[in-house]
Amino acid sequence: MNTTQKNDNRWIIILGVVVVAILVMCVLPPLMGFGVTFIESLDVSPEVNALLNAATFLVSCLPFLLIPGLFIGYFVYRHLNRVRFGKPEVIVPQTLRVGDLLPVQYRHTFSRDVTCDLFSVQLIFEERATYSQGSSTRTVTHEQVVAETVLANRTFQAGEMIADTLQWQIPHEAMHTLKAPRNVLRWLVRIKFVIPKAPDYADEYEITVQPEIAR
Amino acid sequence: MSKAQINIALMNGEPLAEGWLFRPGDEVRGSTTIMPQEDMNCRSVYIILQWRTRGRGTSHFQTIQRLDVHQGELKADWPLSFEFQFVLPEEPWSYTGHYINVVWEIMVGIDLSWQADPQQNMALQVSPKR
Repeated sequence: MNTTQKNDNRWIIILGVVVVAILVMCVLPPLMGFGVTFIESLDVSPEVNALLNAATFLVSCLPFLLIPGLFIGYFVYRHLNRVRFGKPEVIVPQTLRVGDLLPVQYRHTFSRDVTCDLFSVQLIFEERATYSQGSSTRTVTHEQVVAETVLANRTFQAGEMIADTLQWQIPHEAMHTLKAPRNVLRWLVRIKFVIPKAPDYADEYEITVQPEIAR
Repeated sequence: MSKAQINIALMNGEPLAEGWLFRPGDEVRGSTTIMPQEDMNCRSVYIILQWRTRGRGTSHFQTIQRLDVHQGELKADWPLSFEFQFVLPEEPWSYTGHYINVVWEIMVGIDLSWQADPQQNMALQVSPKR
């Protein structure tokens, strides 16, 4: 069994960007105003004055256009692969017992040529713990890869279809799904494409494992 | 020094290196003996069956059943014994993980006004037959 762990810092980064954006929006226009007032005090011609006013208006608008633009750009970049080759079809049972067989069916037709560094389907048992640290709330996750199918370094042609039915099992010694406040144990099937020079494509399908042993 | 010595003894379950093993749905039977070290006027002597999470996440407690077995005076060096009986629910099972542990326990405590409760815990392992 393979284990990985990660800290979930995405929201801290997004919050940081938003705070910086608000600060820039607050500080830049007054600074420009001061600049224009200073230039006007130099007694320039009305044409130059009009140009300066137009420039001030444009520069003042810039953060309001640029920052949402950056957010939209980031969102499009993150979802580029979904747009480029669509969403694979994955069928997994929603509810199982400990020890039950887990059939995972997946199918995907590529709409264009794609070279994948890695294509994987994983069965994951995840611990997700949330705690307070000072005034902030942090979440840490620990993933245990229970089963995995990997295809590495493959080029898929446009129109090529990949399809398979995997037969896995929730191990008999495993824990069931638990959703307590701030303490979550859950089972996931994750399908992932790693594509060079593009964001990874990953999709997750949660399975509820009941506190019952399959005989 | 603790205001009372509290002992918990179980009458069933399989002994383990740490705690006792029970199956979900099992009955837990036992007794507790309290030996007060000084005279006390307590709001209650309670016996609790509970599970909680322990580890990196903020702890979550869930009491399954609470028995209030005594109220009023406790005299120094006068031992008191109480029997208890609980039925374990089907879930959650005991679990030891990387960030999260699920721990079952019997807790016996003396509820005192404006003072920390003297308490004693006994860990249970709740796990199905695999």
